[in-house]
Amino acid sequence: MQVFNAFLRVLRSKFGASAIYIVLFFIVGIIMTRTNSADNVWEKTQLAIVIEDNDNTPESRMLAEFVSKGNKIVEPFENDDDLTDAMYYERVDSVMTIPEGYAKRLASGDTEELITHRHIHDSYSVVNVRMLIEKYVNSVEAYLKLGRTTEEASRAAAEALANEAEVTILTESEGNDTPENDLLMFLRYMPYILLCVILNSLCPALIAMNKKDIRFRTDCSGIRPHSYTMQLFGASAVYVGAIWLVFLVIGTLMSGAMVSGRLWLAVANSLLFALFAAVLSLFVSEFSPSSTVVSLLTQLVSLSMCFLCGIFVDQALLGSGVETVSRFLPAYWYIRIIRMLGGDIPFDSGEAALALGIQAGYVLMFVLLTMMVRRTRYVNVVPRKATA
Amino acid sequence: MFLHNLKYELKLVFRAKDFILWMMLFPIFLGTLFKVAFGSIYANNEMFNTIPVAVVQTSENEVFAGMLTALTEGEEPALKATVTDDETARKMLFDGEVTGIVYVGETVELSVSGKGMSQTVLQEIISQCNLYETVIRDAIATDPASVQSAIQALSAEVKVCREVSSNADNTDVYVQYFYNLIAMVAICGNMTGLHIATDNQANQSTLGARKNCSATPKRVNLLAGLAGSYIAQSACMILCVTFLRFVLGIHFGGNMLLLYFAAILSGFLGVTMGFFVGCAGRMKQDIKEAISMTVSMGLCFLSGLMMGNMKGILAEHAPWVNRVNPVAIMSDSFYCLNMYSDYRRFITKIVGMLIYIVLFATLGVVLSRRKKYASI
Repeated sequence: MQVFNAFLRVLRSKFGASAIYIVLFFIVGIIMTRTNSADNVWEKTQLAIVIEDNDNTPESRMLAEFVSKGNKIVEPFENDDDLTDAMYYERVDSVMTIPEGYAKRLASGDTEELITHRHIHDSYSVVNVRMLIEKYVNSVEAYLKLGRTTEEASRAAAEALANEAEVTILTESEGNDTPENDLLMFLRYMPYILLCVILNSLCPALIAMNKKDIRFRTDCSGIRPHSYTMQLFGASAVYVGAIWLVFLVIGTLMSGAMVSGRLWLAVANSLLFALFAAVLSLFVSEFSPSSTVVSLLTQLVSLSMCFLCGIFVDQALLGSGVETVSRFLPAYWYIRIIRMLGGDIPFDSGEAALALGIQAGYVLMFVLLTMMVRRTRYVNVVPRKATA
Repeated sequence: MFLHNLKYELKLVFRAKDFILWMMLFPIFLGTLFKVAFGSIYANNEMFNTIPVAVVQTSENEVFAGMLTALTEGEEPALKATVTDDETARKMLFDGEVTGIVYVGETVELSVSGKGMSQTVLQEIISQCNLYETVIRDAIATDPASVQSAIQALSAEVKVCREVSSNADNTDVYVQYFYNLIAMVAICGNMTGLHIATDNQANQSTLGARKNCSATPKRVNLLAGLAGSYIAQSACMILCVTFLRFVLGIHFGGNMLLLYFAAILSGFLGVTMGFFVGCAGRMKQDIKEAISMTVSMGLCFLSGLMMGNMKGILAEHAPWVNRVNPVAIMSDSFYCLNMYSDYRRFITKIVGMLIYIVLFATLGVVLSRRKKYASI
């Protein structure tokens, strides 16, 4: 157990740096979870609209009131640059300007380019605003044809448009805004946190253990290389297990969820991914990169895996080509299980087992690769002959 | 002496092949990945496209049938409908082939697999059926003779909105990931900046101990180190922007020369920030590296590298974060070139970066002065 203990001592000496990573990624995890929590009860996606009413008549106010119903009305911006930024970053979908003379033109049936609609993206939200306005104006025109006054027609149009089609969300686990969903949302971002924290904190300790001087001293001792490797793996597993447990407990406490039923699958899923991050650290450390390269490599691996596999951006949004590539990465199978449990895709126990199996396969593959590299780099090294 | 030191500093930087290689490979790899992942999201998912729906009919509904025909016809139809049974429709929904399932009976109902703007638009479209029914009912109750004219008014193809769109070069919101990628490469330069500081501190490295014993003034060593790192970082930034623009074909928008200038200045800021962290305190090098890396990643996160809407969220709840975050200032400078035809805001961002550079460099120099080592 000497290597095991020595490795834990090295880890402890480097814990200061690891703690910084743990704290930062803990905060990142909370922010990501809080800003993306979801439930399965239908509600319309709110539009954020700036309304400029230059007519200020009962008719224009009724239009403004209709548009504002169920949507978010943003106060006009003092600065046009701020408005442009808000529209670019989609905090404001569009600006609707009701011109002077709106009521008169509405009454006369002159509705061509009646409303000014300013936007940046030709997105679904912008189309939705346009559709709302057009439906409203056309409905008012229809009621005017029935002999109503403009005010009566506006009121009737708003009432008619309030009769919307009923919508239900179809998922495997229907209709629950539960703490379990919050825990799943936390677990969704766990691969990024685990990769960053484990690679950044485990690699420096492993690299220290692989230093030439320490290695040569160990090689001279009575410890067999196989035992050395196994003790190193064991100590890494203990450390990674502790990190994983800390984040899991934090996630559970934050969501208030009780782990039960299928949630155990999500827990096992995250443990397997933590093990993958650990063996990846072991593999990377075999090449003794500098600490700076470890940091860059960590970002490269974590960001690329999370973007490609649908952790940061929904898997459904990524194209089929991206999905084909990401199937070769363990994070894809990780998120697949989370999506099944969240009800995004139907739950299939066979596919869930396959996803776990593939992740376990990656763990095994990196263990074998690490052992192979160790054997090639360290065990078969022939010491140079001492020169006179 | 300065030039002599600069020469060796450059040799040192460019001979650290693994670091330079990674700094150059980093944007190439991540940029390619971003391109693959986000290349078509804006056009396919953000911009309005025909919405695919599955239609499950439980009984005849003439109003909906007429409406569906109108919605699925034309050059750019609003809907693409597949009439099918419930089981197939559910499979299509979960496989992402359709946005929703429309159940047509006495009433029209919609089932979706999630909440979003495309689902909301779909609800609005499907609700037209209810609108027609209500208007027809009201018309029959008021004046049955005017039913036809009311329907004509409802379905009139009048362009009610006068559209005013932006004159920005590129409105693709996903291009901000590339702005943030450039900013990340720039802020990663803090690792080279940090090494300048530690390589000049006798308690941090053997090289630092030797340098402190030499006759060369410390400021010359530091300035040569900074200049060498600026040159190396500039090379990385130029490579990064060139690769993204000309190999991947990312359309950043705005003046390219100014984009190069902003990218190089961002690199300077990254290096100087690392220099400041390296000079501050007497912590071990690995702690300083951890602080430097976590702070950088935290700033990148707040700038929207991992979550594209982060800047918007912060603008709403804590706008000062966007104004003081160096990474956000860097990515904003690229954004301003794209969005604004005048350079007023771009200049503000450049001035912001210059202030940070002067501040970090001054603080770094002040903190590294007059240090004495009782025991190394």
